[in-house]
Amino acid sequence: MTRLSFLILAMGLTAALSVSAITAEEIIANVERNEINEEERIDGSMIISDRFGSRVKTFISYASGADKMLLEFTNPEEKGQKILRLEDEIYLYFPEAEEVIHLQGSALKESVMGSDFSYEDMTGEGDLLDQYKVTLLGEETIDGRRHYHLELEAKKRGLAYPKQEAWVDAEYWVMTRANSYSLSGRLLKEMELGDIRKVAGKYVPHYIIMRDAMKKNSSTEMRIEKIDLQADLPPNVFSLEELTW
Amino acid sequence: MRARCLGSTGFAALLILLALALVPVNLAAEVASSVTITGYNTLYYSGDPEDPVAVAAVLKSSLNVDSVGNKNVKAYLQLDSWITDTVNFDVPRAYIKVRFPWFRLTLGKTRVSWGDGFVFNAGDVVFASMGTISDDLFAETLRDETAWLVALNLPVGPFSFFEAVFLPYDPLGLGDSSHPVSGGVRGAFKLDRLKTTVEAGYLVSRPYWEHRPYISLHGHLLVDWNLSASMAIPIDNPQWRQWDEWIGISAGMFHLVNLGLNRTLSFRLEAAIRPGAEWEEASAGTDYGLFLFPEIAFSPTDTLSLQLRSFVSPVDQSALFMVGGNWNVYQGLDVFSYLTFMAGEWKKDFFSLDQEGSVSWTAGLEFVY
Repeated sequence: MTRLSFLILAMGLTAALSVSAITAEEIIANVERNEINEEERIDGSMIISDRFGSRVKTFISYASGADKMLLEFTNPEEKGQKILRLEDEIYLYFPEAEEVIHLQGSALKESVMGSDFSYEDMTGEGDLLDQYKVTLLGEETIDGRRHYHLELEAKKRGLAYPKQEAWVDAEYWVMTRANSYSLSGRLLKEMELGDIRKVAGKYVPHYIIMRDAMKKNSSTEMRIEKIDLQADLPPNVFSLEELTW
Repeated sequence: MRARCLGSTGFAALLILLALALVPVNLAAEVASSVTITGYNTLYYSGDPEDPVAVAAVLKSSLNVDSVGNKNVKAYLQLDSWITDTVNFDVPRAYIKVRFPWFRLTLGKTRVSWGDGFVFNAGDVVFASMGTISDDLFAETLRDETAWLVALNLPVGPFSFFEAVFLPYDPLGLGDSSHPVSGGVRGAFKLDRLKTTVEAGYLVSRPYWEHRPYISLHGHLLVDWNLSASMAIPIDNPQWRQWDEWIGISAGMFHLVNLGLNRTLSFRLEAAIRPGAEWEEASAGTDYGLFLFPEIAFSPTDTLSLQLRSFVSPVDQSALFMVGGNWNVYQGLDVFSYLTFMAGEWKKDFFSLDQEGSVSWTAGLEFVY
């Protein structure tokens, strides 16, 4: 063995060791570190497509950590309607009726404004590692970029998706693809994330496409028009006062 | 649907308001506006033996103008018009809300919803939401009354607050018009451990010369539930033996079942109980002690919803039913159709076929832009 080929083999082994050294839990922790922010504000849009065409809904959302979020629709059809998530509770506000509706249990799986996103999809499911057992299945190259392939199995009942498969960009720590399955293993939803940009030191996908595997010709695309990861949110933004304002 | 007829002065004032509302739309970015146009035709049984069938065509338009851009001040104006063979106008909402560091002030005409309940709400001592509704049963919101008010809201926690309300005019317009003023306070507190919100308040109503205390609870235990009770106690010489005539109780539950992705089935049941009202079958028009509101809604897809709603009078075994559907075809466009009919003994029961509109079929379109 020449000195050069020994060096190449040693480098290869080191690389292989470094890959296997990372655990599935560490990958998810890196993903959450990248995507969960102390305080953020997003101006975005949701484009719902079906066989009759597209419907556009615009929104502003405020989030703090993994379990607090307030989303307000700004398009004319749903203007002023709000969704507030506080830990495991979701509140909906309908301005015309001045009515607050409290969602719990299966209602969280209901579609948001006819989109392919459920209330849980829109507001996050909280800490993934608390809720899912994760397994690293291997590495794959997608669009020329190294990805980790993971499997997530629900630790408890009642989660929106009992089983998920996810692909995480090994450099950006962004989940670029995810498939969700039912308990019987039936594909429910496919999600694809892209247009990744660096914002305030973090990698942020600026579009998400969700396809409902149960419906033909149906998809929902969520686009981030503007994002502020250092938003100085008012202290009472996740409250009844703000929800009904 | 109720329209308020305006005289020529009112009409002119409304046109000026409309013009004022529209001008800033084009001049400033601090205003957001939307228009909802709803057109429908109704074929109904009129109750008139000589001319039993009638047709009504209505085009309702609603212009909504609200301020944007100021985090601490909100203003909103809603102008409604109903076009049939005549034109009627109303201003159901026109208000300013200001958020100060410690409290929130609302001034103008808007909705004030005390207590809890979709249709029956004994805690709503402002509008007394304990009666049945016979028109527009397909509406998303069945109770949409607004009132001229000044409200001061003081938050004391993320889901707890105190509120004081002053109503310079009679919200129902049925009381003593020479003394139209009402006022009251309420407090709401969330008990996290019990997953229950407790609300209690008091209103003094001069138009009806009554004290109106109430308590309302709502929470979640397997289903969403609510329970409210209120009293309307005469201010002058109350006869406490008649307490059962003053009391109103409402109770309700709501549950939504997921039938696979984006397919949902929901159930709602509410009850209005008045111990002092009539509990035995009597003549037509009697106000009975118990009314029920069952509702079943099924959404087979994200854009289609089907509903069955009913008001049931168990005492005389009569009912009003509404069955209908709504399809969101394109962005902002909905197609709807519904049938309402009453079931009860002719000229005897609370709901019966001899009444105007006891059977009707409505079909129409709604567009929001």
